[in-house]
Amino acid sequence: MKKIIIVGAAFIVAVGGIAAFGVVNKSSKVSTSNVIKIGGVFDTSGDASSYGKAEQDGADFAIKQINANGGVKVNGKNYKFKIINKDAKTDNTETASVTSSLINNEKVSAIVGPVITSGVQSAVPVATQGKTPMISPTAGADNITLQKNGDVQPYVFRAQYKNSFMGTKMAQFATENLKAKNIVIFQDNSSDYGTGITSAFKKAFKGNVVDVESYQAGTKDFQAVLTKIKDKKFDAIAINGYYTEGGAILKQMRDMGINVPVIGPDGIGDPKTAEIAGNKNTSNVYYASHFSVDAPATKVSAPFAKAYKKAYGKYPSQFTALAYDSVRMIKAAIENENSTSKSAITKGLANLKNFDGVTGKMSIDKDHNPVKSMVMVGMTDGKESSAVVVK
Amino acid sequence: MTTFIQQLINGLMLGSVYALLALGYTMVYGIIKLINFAHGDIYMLGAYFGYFFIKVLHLNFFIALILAMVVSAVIGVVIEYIAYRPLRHSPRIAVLISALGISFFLENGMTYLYGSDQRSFPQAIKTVQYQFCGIQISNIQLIIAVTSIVLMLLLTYIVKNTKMGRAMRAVSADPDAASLMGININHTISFTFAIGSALAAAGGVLIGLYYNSIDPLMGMTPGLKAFVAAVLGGIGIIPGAAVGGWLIGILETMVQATPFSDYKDAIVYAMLIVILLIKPTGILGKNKREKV
Repeated sequence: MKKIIIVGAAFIVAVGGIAAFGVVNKSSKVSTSNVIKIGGVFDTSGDASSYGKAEQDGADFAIKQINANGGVKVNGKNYKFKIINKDAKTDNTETASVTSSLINNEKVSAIVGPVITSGVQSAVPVATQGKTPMISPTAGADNITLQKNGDVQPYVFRAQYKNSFMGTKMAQFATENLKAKNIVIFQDNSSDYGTGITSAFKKAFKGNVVDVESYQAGTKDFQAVLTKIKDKKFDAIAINGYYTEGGAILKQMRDMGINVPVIGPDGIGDPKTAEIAGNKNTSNVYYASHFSVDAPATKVSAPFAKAYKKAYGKYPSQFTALAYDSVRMIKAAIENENSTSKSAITKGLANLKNFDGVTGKMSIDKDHNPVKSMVMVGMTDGKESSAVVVK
Repeated sequence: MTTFIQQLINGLMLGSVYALLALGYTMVYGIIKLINFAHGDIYMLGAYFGYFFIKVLHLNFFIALILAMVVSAVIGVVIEYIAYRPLRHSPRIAVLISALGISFFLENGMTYLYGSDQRSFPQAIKTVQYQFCGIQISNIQLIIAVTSIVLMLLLTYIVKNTKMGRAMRAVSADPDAASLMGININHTISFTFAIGSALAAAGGVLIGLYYNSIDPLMGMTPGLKAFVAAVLGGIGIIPGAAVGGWLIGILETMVQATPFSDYKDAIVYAMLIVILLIKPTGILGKNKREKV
């Protein structure tokens, strides 16, 4: 019996090895001297698949557009981009393994992805070991670009601003645009997301934070907490969490007659918020967004939205826009450094200044985070009705 | 003071739903000594049936509520027939595990069929707020309170004054003697499951309307809290479940009104431990010796 198992295992390993070798061979044949290979690590299945698919579309669209417009110019020579997408399945082990395969087998020059914070965390060691620059379109946690000792991760970048930056800009919006003096904060304390945004918000807010109420993801009843704060003096509410609980808070507070403006981070920016709260309750609500068709952040934003609509029949989402920018940031890095080597791309990304992204004019700071403006989208009757760029 | 009364009302609302659920736990325990852990998921199914009847068939809210109760009652009976009846003479732990299995089956089955996303429950009744003396109450809160009280009174009447109710009490006291007296035990147990499931479904539909969101895992936490409520009031005792439900609802609301709001669930479960240590038979329970 044991023998059969050993022979069987050997057979499987052999077949797998041949198959893998075949794949490597095939792909190395395709690569020619004027192609720059980019790896795409997107979760097109699993929990984050709705983000992953939108981002893959954005990256693919950017590559198509760049190649159609003549590709990338390096030393007077034209290069074309080629993207190799792999599904990380919203699974940390899978993310590390596809990243490794892109770097070691496909020999990509740079990686766009992964989509979520935990994915980035599991891919960082692989990218660092392979000395391959990696730019995540949408991971938000503050620490993904940093090592444990606070030094920057040399090969990790992102296109989305970090969570604490979002909290700071929300506070700025509350002070400057809503003229709020006293604010009540609801925060989702079951992840770093809500608490991280809240602490940055508190630090940056000029007025008075009257109360901070924490809740766990999955909470449905906010009657008691809302009754408690109802008689306090405040002129705005911040909901630092996601749309499920955000929608419930919004519904219950409006039903109770609390009609002050509500602001939230990008987690509130989902059609489900209005669905759960009810359209009539979703007025005077503002959420942070990375991209809005109504408030073009730079001169390239509107043409991008138009071209994308023509190609896909719908306007790009903020995730699509961020992935689109990620690819274009790599292109800019290559052209600025006039070289296609991995070390040049890494250096180029780290030194990127005043880059015209569709999600804003950005410069990469010393911690590899983009510094850019933020869009606050306003909702009336459950529909997007305004968009303000917070500089 | 008005804030206190307002919080008390919030607590009673929440408690009414826990009470509806706790009644099912208590009746099933009273009759076959089973803690039916799939009970919270019947509540979830009830909410989904309500959603279906209102959103797809465009029925009136109260008709949808009654239909959801009827369908869930049938499902409760089927679950008992398939998962519990064959194990009736097995050790109690086997039935308990079977109940957990059914619970996971329902949760994951619904996730598989309809996705794990939250759905917004159709707002079949427009929310209207009433104010008096600084206290605010909405028509939906009133509907929840009135529906639960009517259902509880109806249940009390059935158990006290009907032939089936008498059979339930007899089977609960001594199944063997009851069957010698010509009571059909299987029918009585099926009837108990039907009523318990119908009450849970009513709770689910009411909560769907109240919070406007339903999802396949919505039964887990309320199910556990209702179980705590049943134990708190004295498991197996019908008025105890109602008292326990209201107490848990009020306790949870009051904790949320203090700075300890992060610990509301922990405090509810701590309550269970305290009750089990001090008075294991619950608030309305009497100390009686187990027959040997």
